[in-house]
Amino acid sequence: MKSLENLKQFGQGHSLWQDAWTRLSRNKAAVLGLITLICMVLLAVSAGWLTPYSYETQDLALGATPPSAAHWLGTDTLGRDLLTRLLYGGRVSLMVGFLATAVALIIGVSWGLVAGYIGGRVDHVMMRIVDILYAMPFTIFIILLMVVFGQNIFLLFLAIGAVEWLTMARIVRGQVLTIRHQEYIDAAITMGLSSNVIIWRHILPNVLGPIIVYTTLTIPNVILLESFLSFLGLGIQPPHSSWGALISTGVDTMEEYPWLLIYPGCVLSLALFSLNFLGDGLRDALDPRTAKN
Amino acid sequence: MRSIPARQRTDSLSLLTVNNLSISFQSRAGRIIAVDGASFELEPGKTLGIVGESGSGKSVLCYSLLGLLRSPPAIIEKGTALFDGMDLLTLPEHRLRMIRGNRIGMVFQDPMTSLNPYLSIGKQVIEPLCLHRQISRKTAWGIAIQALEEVGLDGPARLMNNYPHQLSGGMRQRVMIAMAMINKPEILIADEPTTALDVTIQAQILELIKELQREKNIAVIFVSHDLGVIARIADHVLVMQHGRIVERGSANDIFQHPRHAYTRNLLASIPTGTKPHKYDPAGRNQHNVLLSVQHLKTWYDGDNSFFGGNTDLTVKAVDNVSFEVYRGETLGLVGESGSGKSTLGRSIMQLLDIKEGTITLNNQELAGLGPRQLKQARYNLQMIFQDPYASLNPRITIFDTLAEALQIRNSMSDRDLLAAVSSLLNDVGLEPAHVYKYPHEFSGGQRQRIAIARALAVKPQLIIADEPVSALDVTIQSQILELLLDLVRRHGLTMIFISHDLSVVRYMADRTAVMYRGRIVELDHTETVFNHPKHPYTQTLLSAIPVVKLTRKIENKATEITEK
Repeated sequence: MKSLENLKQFGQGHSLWQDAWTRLSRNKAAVLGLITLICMVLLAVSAGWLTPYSYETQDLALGATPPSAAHWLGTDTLGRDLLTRLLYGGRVSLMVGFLATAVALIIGVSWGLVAGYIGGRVDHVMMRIVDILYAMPFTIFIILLMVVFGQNIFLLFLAIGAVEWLTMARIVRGQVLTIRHQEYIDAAITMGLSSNVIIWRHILPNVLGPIIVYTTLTIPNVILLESFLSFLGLGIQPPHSSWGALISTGVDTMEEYPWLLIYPGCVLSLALFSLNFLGDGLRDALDPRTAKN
Repeated sequence: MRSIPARQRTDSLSLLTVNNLSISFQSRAGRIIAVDGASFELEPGKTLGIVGESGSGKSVLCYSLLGLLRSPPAIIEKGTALFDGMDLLTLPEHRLRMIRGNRIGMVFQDPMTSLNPYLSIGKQVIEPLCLHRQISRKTAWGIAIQALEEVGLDGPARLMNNYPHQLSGGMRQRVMIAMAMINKPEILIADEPTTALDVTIQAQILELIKELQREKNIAVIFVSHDLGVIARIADHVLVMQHGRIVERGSANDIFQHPRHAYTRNLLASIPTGTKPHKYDPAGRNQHNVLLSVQHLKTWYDGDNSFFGGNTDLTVKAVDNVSFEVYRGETLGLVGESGSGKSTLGRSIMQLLDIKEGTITLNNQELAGLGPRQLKQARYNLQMIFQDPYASLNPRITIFDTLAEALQIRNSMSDRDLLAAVSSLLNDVGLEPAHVYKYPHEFSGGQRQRIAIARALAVKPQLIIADEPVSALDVTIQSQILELLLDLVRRHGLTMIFISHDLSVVRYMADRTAVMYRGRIVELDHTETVFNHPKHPYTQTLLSAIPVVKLTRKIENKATEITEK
C-alpha cells in the first residue's frame, strides 16, 4: 500500500472542467473579456436604478445634444438620454444574443451529435432535414412565425435560434464523424459503455473547441440579426430599443449627430471583442494539450 | 564565408560531403537540437543507410540537404554539405531548385500522399523533365513511359493516363521512384520509402532500388528505422540517436560487431526466436475452447447510399473463416494490409456487423445477443489498439480512463479505486505518480502501457491485440512485447495477437494463422508455420522478411502476388 500513500500526495484528481477553469483564469485576455461581459450584464439589468432618465420620455425641446454633464453620452433627436437607451437596449441585445444562441446551441449540438454518432440512415434523414431548412428563406420564415403567433420577444429568440442551429448541427456532425472513428471510441464501446456515456464523456468534450468558436461567432450574428428584424418592423418596436436598432438609427444621422452612432458602435464592438477573447480562452482552456506545464 | 578544409575540397572520391552539420528547431519550449554535428561522405554508386528511431534526426538531416526544412522553426546552426563544389545549405533557392529533382532525387515515405490525387500519373512524371530540360511535352511523355517501364510497371503507356487512386501502394512508390530517377540524378535520397508498404512489396521495392543503382551507378542515401531493411540494402551505415551519429561503418561491421551500446540495444530489440514459455498442448481440448469462430463472413457493402448498396462493390473482407482459441493460449494472426486480419478482430469484438457465421465465447453465441446481454458479454472481450495516440481520450486524465474501465462491472469506493488504479499502473510498469496526467504528457510506449492497463482493468477472458506494437520504435516495441508476455504468463491471459510483422508473431504466439484475402490459408503451431510453411503465400511472406543477420540473408523470391 506504499504506492497508495505516494499517490495521495499528488492530491485529488481534477475534472476537465476544474482544470479548464484553472487554465482559463490564467489567460488574461479571456478573464478581461469575461469581466467586461459580466459588467455589461449587470449594468443592463440594473439600468432602472442607474440613470435618472426614462428610456421613453421624449424632450422634443431639447432635441439632439452632444455629450454633457447632464447627459453623459448626449441625447437623440427626440431628446432621449442615449446612455439610458444604451443600458436598456443592452437588455434586449444581450438577451437575444445569449438566449437565441443557447437555443441554437442546444438544438444544433444534440442534432449533430445524434446524427454523427448513429450515422447511416438516421444521419441521412437528419441531415436532409437540415438541408431543407437551409433552403427556406429566413425572412419569410420569421414573418410567418410572427403572423401565426403574434409579436413576442421570446418568440423572436426562438425564431432566430431555430435558424442559427443549422450550421451548428453541420459543424458538430462533421466533427463527430471524425472522432467516431478514433480508437478510444472503439475502446469505450468494447468496454460496454452505453451510447449516452460515450457521447457525453468521450465525444462531446472533444468537439467543444469548434462548438465554442462557432458560438462566439453566432452571438454577434444574432445581435445584428435582431436589429435587421427590428428594422423590418419584426423585432423590437419603439420606444424599446436595442444596440442594433440604436446603431441603425445612428447611421441615418451620422453626419449631424455622430455620437448617436459612435457610442452604440463602441459598446457593441466591446461586447464582441470580449466574446472573442473569452471564446478563444475557453477553447484553449478545454484542451489539455495546450496547457503549459 | 565558411572556411572549407583543404582536405575536403580536393577529395574527389566523395560525391557529397557533409561536415559538422547541426540543425535546431525553435519552439515555445526553447531550442531543440535535431541534428548535432553530423559528418559523413557519400561515394558514387554506394548506398549509405541511416538508421535510427523516431526523433533521432535522420529525416531532418535528409530534408536539410535539399533545403526542404521550413525556417523558422528550423535553423541550420553550422556545418556544410558540399555537393559538386556547392554548399547545399547556403545555396540560394533558385539554384537549389536546379538541383532538386534533377541532380538529387528524393523518394518520400508515404506513397499515398506524395502524389497529387488530381493529376494523372503522366502529368506528374513529366513534370521534373519539362522543368529541368528544354524538351517538348511529347518527348517528355515518351521518356516518362520508358521510365515507368524501367521501374517494372506493366503497361506504362496506359498507366500514364491513370490517376494515383487507381494504383496500389507499391505501384505508387514505383512511380515515385521513376519520378526521382527520371533526370538521371547523381544522388537518390529515399526517406523510409518502404515503411508504408507490405513486406512482400517492400522486398520488391528494395530489389528495384538496388537494381537501378547498379545500372545507373548513382549514390543512394537510404533512411529507415528498420534494421532489417538497412541490412538488406546499405553498403555503409550510420546509426543516429538524439541527433548524433553514434556509430558508423560498413553494414557488415555494424551488424556483426556493433560497438556502441545503442546499436547493440537496437539489434537486441529485434524479436528473434519463439515464445519463451510454451503453452501446454494438453490444454487444447474440447472443454477448454474459449472462443470458437465458425464460417464467419464480414463483407463491406460498396455503396452506402440511402436506397441500399450496390452489390458489385462489396468487399469480402473476411470470407468464411473458422478457428478456435483455447484458454490460456496466444493465437497469432498474421497477414498483409487488406488481408482482413483487423476486420476479423473487430468482428469478434462486435465492432462490425457480421454477415454470416457464428462467434461463440464461453459457449455463448454473440451475434444474436440483445444490447443488454451484449454489454455483459463485452466485459469478457477487450482490445488493445494499434495507435496509442488515438486510443486514449485526450481530454480525460489517466486516472479517469482507468477508473472508468475498473468500474464497468461494479462501482468502487474512492479509496479502493485509487488503490486499484495504482496497482494496475504498477502491473504495466508505470509510476503511479503519473495518475492525474493527460495522455499527451506520455510517450508512445507509455501510452500503449496505459491502453494495456485499460484492457486489463475490465478483467476480460480474451484480449485481442491489433498491431499493438507497429506504431512504436523498435526498442519500445521489445519492451511492450516483454510486458505482454509477462502479463500473459502472470494472469494466464488468452490473446489473439494480430500483426503484419512475422517475427513479432513468431515471438508472441503459440499457434499462428496466416490470412490472405479474407481467408485463413494456414493455421498451425507457430514453429510448424515458420519452419515448414505449406501454403505458397506463407512461403512468399517468409522469404520477404528482411533479416538482419547478413550471413543468412535470404534471397528475394517475392512474386507480384499481392500487387495485382
